[in-house]
Amino acid sequence: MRRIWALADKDLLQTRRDKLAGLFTIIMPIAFTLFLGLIIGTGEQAYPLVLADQDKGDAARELVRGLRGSEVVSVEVVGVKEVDERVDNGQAAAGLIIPKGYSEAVAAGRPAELTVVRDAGSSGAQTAEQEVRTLAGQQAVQTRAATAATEAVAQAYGIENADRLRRDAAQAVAQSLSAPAVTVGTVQSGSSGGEVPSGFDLTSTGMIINFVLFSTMTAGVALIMERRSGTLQRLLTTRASRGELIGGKVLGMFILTFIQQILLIGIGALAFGVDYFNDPAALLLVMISLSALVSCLGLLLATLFGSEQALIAATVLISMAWAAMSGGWFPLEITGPTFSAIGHVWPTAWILDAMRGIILKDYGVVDVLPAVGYAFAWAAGFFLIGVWRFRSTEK
Amino acid sequence: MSIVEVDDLRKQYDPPKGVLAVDDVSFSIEKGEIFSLLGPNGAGKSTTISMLSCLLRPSGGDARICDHSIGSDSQAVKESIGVVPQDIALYGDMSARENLHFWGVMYGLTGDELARRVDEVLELITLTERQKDRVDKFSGGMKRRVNIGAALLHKPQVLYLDEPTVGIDPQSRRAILDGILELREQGMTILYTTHYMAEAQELSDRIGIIDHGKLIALGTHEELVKLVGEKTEVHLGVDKHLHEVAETWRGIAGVGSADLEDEGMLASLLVDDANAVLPAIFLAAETAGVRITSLNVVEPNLETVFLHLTGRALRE
Amino acid sequence: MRRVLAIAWKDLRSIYRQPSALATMLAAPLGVALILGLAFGGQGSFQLQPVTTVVADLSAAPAGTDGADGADGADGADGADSAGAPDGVQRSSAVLVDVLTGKELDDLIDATRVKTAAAARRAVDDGEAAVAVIIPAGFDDAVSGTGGAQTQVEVYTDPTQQIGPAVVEGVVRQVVVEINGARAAATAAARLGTVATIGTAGDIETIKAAAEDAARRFVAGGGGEGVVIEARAPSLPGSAASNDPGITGIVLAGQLVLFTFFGASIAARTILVEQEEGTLARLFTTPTTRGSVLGGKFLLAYLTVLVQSIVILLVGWLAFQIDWGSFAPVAVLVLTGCAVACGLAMLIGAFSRTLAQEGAIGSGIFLVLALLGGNFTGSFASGGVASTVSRLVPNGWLLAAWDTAMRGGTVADIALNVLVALAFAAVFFVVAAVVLRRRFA
Repeated sequence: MRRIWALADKDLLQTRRDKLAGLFTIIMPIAFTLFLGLIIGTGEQAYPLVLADQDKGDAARELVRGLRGSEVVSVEVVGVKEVDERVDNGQAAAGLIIPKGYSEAVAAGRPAELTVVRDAGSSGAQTAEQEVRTLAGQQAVQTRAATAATEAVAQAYGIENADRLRRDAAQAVAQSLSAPAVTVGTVQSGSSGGEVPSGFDLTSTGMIINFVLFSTMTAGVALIMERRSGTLQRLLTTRASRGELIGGKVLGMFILTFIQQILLIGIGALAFGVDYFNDPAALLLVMISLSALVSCLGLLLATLFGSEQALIAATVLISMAWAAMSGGWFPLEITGPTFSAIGHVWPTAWILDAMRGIILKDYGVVDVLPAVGYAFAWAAGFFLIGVWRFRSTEK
Repeated sequence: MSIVEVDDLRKQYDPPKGVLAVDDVSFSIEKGEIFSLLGPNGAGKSTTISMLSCLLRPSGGDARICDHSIGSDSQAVKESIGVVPQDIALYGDMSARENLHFWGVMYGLTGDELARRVDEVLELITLTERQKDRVDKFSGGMKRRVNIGAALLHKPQVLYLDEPTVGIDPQSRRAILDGILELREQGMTILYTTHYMAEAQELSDRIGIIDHGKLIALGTHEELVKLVGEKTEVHLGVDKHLHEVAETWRGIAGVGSADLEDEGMLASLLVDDANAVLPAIFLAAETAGVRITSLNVVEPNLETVFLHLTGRALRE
Repeated sequence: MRRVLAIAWKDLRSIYRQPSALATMLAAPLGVALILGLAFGGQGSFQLQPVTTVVADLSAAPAGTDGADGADGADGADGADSAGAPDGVQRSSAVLVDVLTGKELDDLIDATRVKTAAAARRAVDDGEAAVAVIIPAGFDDAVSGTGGAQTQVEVYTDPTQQIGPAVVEGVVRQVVVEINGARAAATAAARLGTVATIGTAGDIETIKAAAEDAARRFVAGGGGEGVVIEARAPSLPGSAASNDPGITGIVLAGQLVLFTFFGASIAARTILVEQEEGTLARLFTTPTTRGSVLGGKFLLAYLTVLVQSIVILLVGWLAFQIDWGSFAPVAVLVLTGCAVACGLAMLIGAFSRTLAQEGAIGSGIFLVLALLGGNFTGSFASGGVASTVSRLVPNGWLLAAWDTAMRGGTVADIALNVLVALAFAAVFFVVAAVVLRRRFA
């Protein structure tokens, strides 16, 4: 055991002394996480919506008022030519053009047209568009209700000139809708019950996976350099067994990635209030399983590739593919069921789910055990193959 | 005028308190001469060569190679020299021919001349048949030969060889040394650094002995030996005590001293010329009834010169 | 110049012989694009899998109960002609349940019914459903009553999912808006009827009939179709009707830009490799100037990523049917992107002392740039802060330009982006050249 600790300590010392690489393994992920967290903030951002009102009638003004009062979009009124420009260059999530005749159509109960300019692939644009649809739809409902009431009463009482009726109906409908009989309340499951989770709650975990996976590169390269410099062969001539050598290497990688997790989780919790510590025991288990997974992967990669370049290439490929397919870049819920299922072949997807469950759904030790077990199973597989490779190549 | 003139060359790393690797070294090399810098590891040989190759900027002094200053005219210097670095500096994933072709381009060769020179150098280093094989598949000796060949493509006026025979087998070393002598025959001037005394002795017209950055002696082998006045050592083992015979030996002309060791069973004599005094020594022993059981004659060499000058062995 | 070309050519051949380099430069971006294309269903937009939803309809139970102790929620009743609902108008709770469980929204919502609110919440807590919709007890009475009582539909969501619950919540809100609208129509009709009969011997039955009629008219769609929204992509004057590049196109453009960074770094890394192997020092002993050596390395990096870019564009066009845009803007973007990648790679190489450093630093920087610039999310950038942030990095400008080019933009449309990106490249290169010259002085 002493030799294993000595080997791990040596590797960590070399990492500490390589200040530049250490900086980018530890400091940059922290800096980026801080930066991203500040940008994402509480997740309650208003999407910029540019609006051109060519109508200027009552209904149009009503719609604009409603949009200005919305928390989902922040409205800026511009000329009609600017709408497309601003959306095109990304300065606005979406644009709304209220054409001439809108208010008249609404008042007459005719279909009223609106034009939404947006990039269909943008989630922000979709949200802004949905808000426009919702508010415009509410306006349409008001109009429909007023018209329906007007027509029903006109027919019931044989009233021919319904203009005054229409005005009164509109007022009555507005009054009724200002205190609707039915409302919708949203409640989150878990410890976030009653709160709206911040975007950073979900992004933070994805960042951890991304950066920890990339750390396999630093650890793996160290082994390759030892092989190249001849010190690995020299170690093999000492009394240290191959098992101790491997154990020392893996332990060093484990400690490095564990420290990385501690720092990133600490930042997330202290700076941005992510509830990582809802269940510290569960969190610890998940962290241990992630570090074990990544360090065994690093060992395997270092035994598979003979040069730094090859290892770096492999790490980049694997890290990106795993991060993408595990939900580290985008939520798997927006992919097809097949892709989501494939993504959950990878242990990182399970670990992400477990972390998010701890943060948002009061997951405890029992709840994370399946993810932890799955990750350890993969780690064991990597370890066994890595050991076999090490024994056969380092003669 | 000498083809290489080194004038108070100095190099200090991280001044003012850093290591003074080369301390006011001055020497000159004549055209067509093989000049060796001999010294132990860390003496300053490679630093000196690096400065003369315009890789390192001197902290003081200057050197002129083919009348071009290393300080102000480095491009012209580089066109005049070929450098064989101590470590193999080749592209392993390229063939011997591809390596030579590339280095030829770097030295300014083009077209037919380049192709011709590559063929000639391949022939010179006897690797014509392996020219298409990747260098990383070569043995150490073969790599060394390509390493040397790459510096010869442009027919430099001065060739620097920085310990070219380190870590290779005796046959390859012999081939390299023969090759160097052949180059000298062709008129090339060679600056050779080594810590092997025998190489310096065999190859060099003149030798500079360097230690701790200082040039402590300079001259031909004979001059260096005479400089310190070393005599030949004759070691004799005998079957009887030698006290009386030793007195007789001390009286023979050409014998400087005779010391006894091992309770009189071993004798060490310092003589001017072993060939001249050995008959008299043997006759004296026979007359005294002493039988000589072993004989060892040690000519004065650079190792002893170095030991005399520094108090340390060359190979400590 | 000959020496510069010789240095570049030597390394270019070496790089394109290395499987690991080819994997990084070509297999990786195409692989990631393939993965993301599969994730997002090829050329189309998002394909959201049906959101697993449980519905607990407790409306038949007395108000304030939770559906327990036998007072179960309605289970399959259609609610027609039930108490409180006018003739011909379905009960409100049944409307909501039908919408959620009906076939029309099958591709969006996969709903099952449970009997109690606790069971519904438990399904979400246990991860069996993403959303639970709980229609409270007394719901219909509140809708049809006149006492001003309010009721609330609870949408109970899994916080680890965002989009699915948002979809279901949106549907519920839409139905609730209709329910409130029908109620408002009835309420307005009743008030109007009351006003119309003031001072006369008006009967309650007529008022009630008018209210019911108003509700029916509203539900039947009386009053018109409301608002018709046309949603379109932005189009700029002078440019042709915009092409939609599709998700795969957007993603591959992002991967192209990102992986040219990696490609250039493979080339720039050769400086470190040569330094470690001693051939760099040897190069410096030849008449080849340091400028030639560095120029050769830059040219190497540029040619490396130029070949890489062309291959990716060709594969994208042939295999993924991506329309990259007109030749001129595409050519300009490729050349500009290569310059940015080379400048950045040289800069990283200049500050790195070892291969390990360069690998760790470079990969980290590229990842961060990609996350900031939107390489992984393409035009998912939602405007506002994310869009502003993407303008801080050169790949953000490049990606925006690629987006424009793929939508049919011209060179003039991307000119500003190209100039900014080239400015970044120039700064990178100048700093790299200064540092490298000093290092190898």
